[in-house]
Amino acid sequence: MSALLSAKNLSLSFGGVHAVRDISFDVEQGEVFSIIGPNGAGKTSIFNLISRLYNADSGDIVFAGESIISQPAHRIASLGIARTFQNTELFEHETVLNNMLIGRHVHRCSNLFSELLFLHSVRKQELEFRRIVEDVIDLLDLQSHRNQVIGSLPYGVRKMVEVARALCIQPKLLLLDEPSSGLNPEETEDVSFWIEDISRDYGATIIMVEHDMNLVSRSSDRVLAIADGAFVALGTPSEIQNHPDVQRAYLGD
Amino acid sequence: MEVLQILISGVSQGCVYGLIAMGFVLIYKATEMVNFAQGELMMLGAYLAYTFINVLGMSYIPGFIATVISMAIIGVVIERGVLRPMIGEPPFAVLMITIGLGFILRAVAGAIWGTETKTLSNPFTGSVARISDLSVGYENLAIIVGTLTLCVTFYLFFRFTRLGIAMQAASQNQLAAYYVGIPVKRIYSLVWALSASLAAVAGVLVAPVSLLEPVMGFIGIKAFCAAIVGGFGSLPGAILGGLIVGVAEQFANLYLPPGIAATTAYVMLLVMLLVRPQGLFASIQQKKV
Repeated sequence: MSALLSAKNLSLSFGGVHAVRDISFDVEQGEVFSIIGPNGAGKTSIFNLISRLYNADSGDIVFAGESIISQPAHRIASLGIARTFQNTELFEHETVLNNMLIGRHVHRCSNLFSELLFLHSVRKQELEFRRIVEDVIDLLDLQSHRNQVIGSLPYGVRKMVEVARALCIQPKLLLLDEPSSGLNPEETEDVSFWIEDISRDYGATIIMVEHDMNLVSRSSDRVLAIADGAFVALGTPSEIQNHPDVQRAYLGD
Repeated sequence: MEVLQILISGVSQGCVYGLIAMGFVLIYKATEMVNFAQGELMMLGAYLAYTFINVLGMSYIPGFIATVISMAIIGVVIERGVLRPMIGEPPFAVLMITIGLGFILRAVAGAIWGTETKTLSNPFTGSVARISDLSVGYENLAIIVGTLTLCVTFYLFFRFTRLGIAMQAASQNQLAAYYVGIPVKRIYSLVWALSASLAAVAGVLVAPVSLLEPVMGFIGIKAFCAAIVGGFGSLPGAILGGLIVGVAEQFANLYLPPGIAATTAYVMLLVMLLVRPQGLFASIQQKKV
């Protein structure tokens, strides 16, 4: 097994605040890797570094053998990395279906004129995209919401649509930012099921930032604990839960 | 018959407002800035056409195309050079920049082409199409046909093409657009290119019916009213708002005391803001609390 993604000595600060300090970790191909930590520990900052929303002060990120530290944010999807957001970032005025179809944007290879004329090749491509989207709809049980506009959907469904859009990119690496935040206990339980499905059916490697320790222990292969932007511990969920440094980070001395 | 005649000239004037209003809306939707130099872009387009056709002696259609292409480039240059450095600044600062840009463009046009009025030579002047009793000047017909063609092209572009859809995506949610792989900044440049070339088309079409002068861009203020009447942020709304303002203005010209017609656009704006502030095609929703 080789590492799909390696973070090497990442550091990031905003003015005097050190959001991420010298963090390194490897994520193996096919695993579910969780990042935990108290509020403000720098979990989402690490995500934003990987997805190139923030520029690291120092360090490197290597994805599939290639450094991505200076790639622009819009190149991330075509490299095979998809992400979701803590508070969902969707196209509010569009339907679930359109939100998912645009996930295929980077895979679309047709030019302006063939699109305007709706040539055979464009039609074939559309049909293929639609099939991929329908598979994702089936996986995540979104059938009944297919033609609804995002603005009219409850929060839990929106979070699912965001995951669905990310899957339509057919990513090698999926970044889930607090998939259970704002969900009720029942929905949170579902999260662990679809994470398993995604990992199995799509072969996607998953990195997840999560607060719910139940979900983390059930779904993750390995867990990275951080506090105040710095490394605390890395290991299996049970190792992390019983780690004295982790308990100190959450509860104090 | 007279009513119909006025209706047609109102529609052709309204199309010009609509084209400029579409430029406002395009930039606003994509970048959430209001470009108050939109009218000046139209003026610049008209002067460029004058340079290509009257000064350099190109014939009308190649001159037209050269104008549209040059304006697209100017649009990109303005976005890159003037507005991109303003990303993250307060909207008011950006607005002031575009107003300032309008002043600069007027001054530059005055310096290059002079302040006296000019006429763009065109293949329409003097020819009139007669449909039974109606007579429609070819220049007005060209405006109407040109606007219609552009509307259809825009509809197809935004509905079916990868680029058009990417533009809509970038205007709805930048972050989400980035992470489905859309280069949002490049899209902004393209939106400015599109908007400036739209202004160029408006400028070339309007030149035969109005005279070229550096202050002709003030028509942009009326077009701005039209965009609000139509519902700021909606492309069909921009055209419809333009048509309504244009037609109302022509009728006011005929039936109301002289001078009143000039205020039509603003009166309609005030009425619309009182009665239906979101405009005809509401694309901006009131925040629910």
